[in-house]
Amino acid sequence: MSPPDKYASAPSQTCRDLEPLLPILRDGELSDEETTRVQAHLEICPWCRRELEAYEAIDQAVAKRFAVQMSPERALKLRELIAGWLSPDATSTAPRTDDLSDDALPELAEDSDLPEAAASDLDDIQDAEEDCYQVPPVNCSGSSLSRIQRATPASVAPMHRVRLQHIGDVMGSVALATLENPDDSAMTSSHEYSPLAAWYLSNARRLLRDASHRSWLQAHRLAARCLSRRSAQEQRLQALFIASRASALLGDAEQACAYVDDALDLSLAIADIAAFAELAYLHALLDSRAQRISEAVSHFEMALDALNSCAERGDRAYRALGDLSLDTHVRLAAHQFLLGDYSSAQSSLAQAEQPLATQLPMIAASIEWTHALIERWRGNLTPALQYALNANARYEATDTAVNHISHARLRIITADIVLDFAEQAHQAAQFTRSGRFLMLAQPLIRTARSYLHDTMDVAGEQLALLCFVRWRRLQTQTDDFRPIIEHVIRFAERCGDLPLLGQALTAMGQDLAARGEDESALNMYRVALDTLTRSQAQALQVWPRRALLRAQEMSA
Amino acid sequence: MTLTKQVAKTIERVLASGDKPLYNRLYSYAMALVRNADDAYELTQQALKAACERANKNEAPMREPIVERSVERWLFKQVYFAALNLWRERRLQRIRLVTILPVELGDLADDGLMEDRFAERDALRGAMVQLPPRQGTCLYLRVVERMLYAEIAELLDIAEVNVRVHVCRARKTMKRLLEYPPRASPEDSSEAPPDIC
Repeated sequence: MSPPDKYASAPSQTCRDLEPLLPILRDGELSDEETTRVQAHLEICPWCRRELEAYEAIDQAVAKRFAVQMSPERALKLRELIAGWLSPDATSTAPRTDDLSDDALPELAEDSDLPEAAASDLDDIQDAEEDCYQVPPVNCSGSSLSRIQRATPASVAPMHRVRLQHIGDVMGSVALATLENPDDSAMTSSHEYSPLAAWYLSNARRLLRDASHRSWLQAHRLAARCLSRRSAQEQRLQALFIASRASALLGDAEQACAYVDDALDLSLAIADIAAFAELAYLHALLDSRAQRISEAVSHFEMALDALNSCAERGDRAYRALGDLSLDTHVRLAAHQFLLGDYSSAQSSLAQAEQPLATQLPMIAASIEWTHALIERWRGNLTPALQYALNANARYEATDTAVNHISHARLRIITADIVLDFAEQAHQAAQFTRSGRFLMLAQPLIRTARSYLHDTMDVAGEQLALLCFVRWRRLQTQTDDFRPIIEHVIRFAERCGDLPLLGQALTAMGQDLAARGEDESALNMYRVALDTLTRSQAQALQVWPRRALLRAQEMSA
Repeated sequence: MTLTKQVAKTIERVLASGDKPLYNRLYSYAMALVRNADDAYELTQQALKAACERANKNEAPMREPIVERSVERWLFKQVYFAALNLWRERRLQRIRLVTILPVELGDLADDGLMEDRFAERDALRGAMVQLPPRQGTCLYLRVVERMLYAEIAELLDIAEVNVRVHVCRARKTMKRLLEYPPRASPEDSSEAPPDIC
């Protein structure tokens, strides 16, 4: 409904005409003519005056709310940094907060003059990380060593125990594995045991648990400092472990893998099998993040071998690693599936389907998800849909941010299975049945897209787009979906995500086939197959391969 | 006076000027962009360091003549580009393993973006967060930094008319999201004119 007629007497001065100018009137960027028109109108229109007041109130609130100030400590530190950067020798002294290389670390003194080294190091660290954690007394003199030990008793006693925390939510709220040395007295009695390294490690562990980029950087630095000094082998192992975790969190997967490789060698040298199991597991996670699927499988298998060895030896560290075995089986199954080794994947899933798994909803959901994928790939659509719906129900019962993403992705998988049914019905000319399946898939795709958009899961969004295209094609075969698929292809190319690229190329092949461009479709399937061969995700080759075989059969 | 000294002097002057030193304004802008104190501090540092490095290299960080306003604009631009890089990096970090698998199977840790998004309680910040990044940035630069449309256009590398549209849309969206008063009384009129901006 438009404003009252009395304000609409002259068309050039109606509220409707001038309303778009109101939000920017006070910016002083309108032309003279526009300003005069609006001001003349404002004199007679209370409604527009109130609109204008609202915009002014918003401006005032924004200006007040967003003009935040840096803390005085940070401002002071920044000024010091600027003074350093502007000095003539700034290029050599300017610290870089994002530098991960050990070269950036200051030279540390030998252990022989530990108190002074400790004092200077502590000063240094306190300067850099003043508000991130409590530091022990900094004014260390001759007795600094004992003071550090007194100030951080917790850092010495549990130093053999590093908790690997990841937010995967696979174990309920937070999954924890434990890198544990069964003989803590061996470490503290070692002649190379360094209390300062213990203090570094303790603080690095604390920083690692913070969900902040800056904290991870600081944790990496502390671990690197620990590695640059002489310390017990167990301390070195933990430092490598922390450095790898920090590097991984900072997005430097290659550096993280290098640290884990060193740590694996060290854990074998000191015969710490439990630590070896955890490190192999961590390496597998890093591999899987980098889409090196076969390497991930071999590292998961190494981790399981080590865990079995711990169990056989009755290693007391194994008790703490019990959940890790279950988790490793599930992850191994998913990766074996990707490699196209369905029978091994099912056997790994069977190992994971222990009574414990049913008590852990996210583990159970992951197991059912993987079963759904295997069944779909084998063409058993009914059990695949049943597994997918069960997994959906489990995700609905939990409510965490990470689960939202997984749940949205699972909806896409479920929608794909439903679309398989629709496609079958369509091919059998059962159009009513096909329409019912399409109606079933629609809300799944819509809610998934909305979730994935809200949670900024860009890769998941692309998968949802491919599913949406498939749904639309089955519904109306006339639209041109190539721009959407090309968008996904461009995204996958930009990110180097070969499995997604292969899926998008397959979708393009299907689109071309639906349009009757058979030769182009076959070429596209071949490109998809080639891409997926390079990606190691052999399971995804099934769809283009089937399409090619079908085409060969038809031509024969 | 050499170019280095000129630039250094200008930087020192803009950093110390007035009751709102430039580093605070840069930090405030970075906060509006990334909504995280640590990241905002990093971005501010990066921008100031880049300026100092260019001063040391005997290069002006902006086109001649060196005036405070141009140093300021250049620094704001640096913060904006650094924030863009950060967004890009964070978004790409969210790509996990193979999309058909549960994300937690390839996951090490969350980067906190989602929590930041979901945990937003403050209505004004919440409304600002919902604006598309370009609109939010234009509104911030106009309202808080009092920049002209031409300056914003130059900084964000877009047309001036687009700045006008972004600012207009941002204010309208904020008003709608915050349900800002004046709801017209029955005798004035019952509904606002439709959105035609």
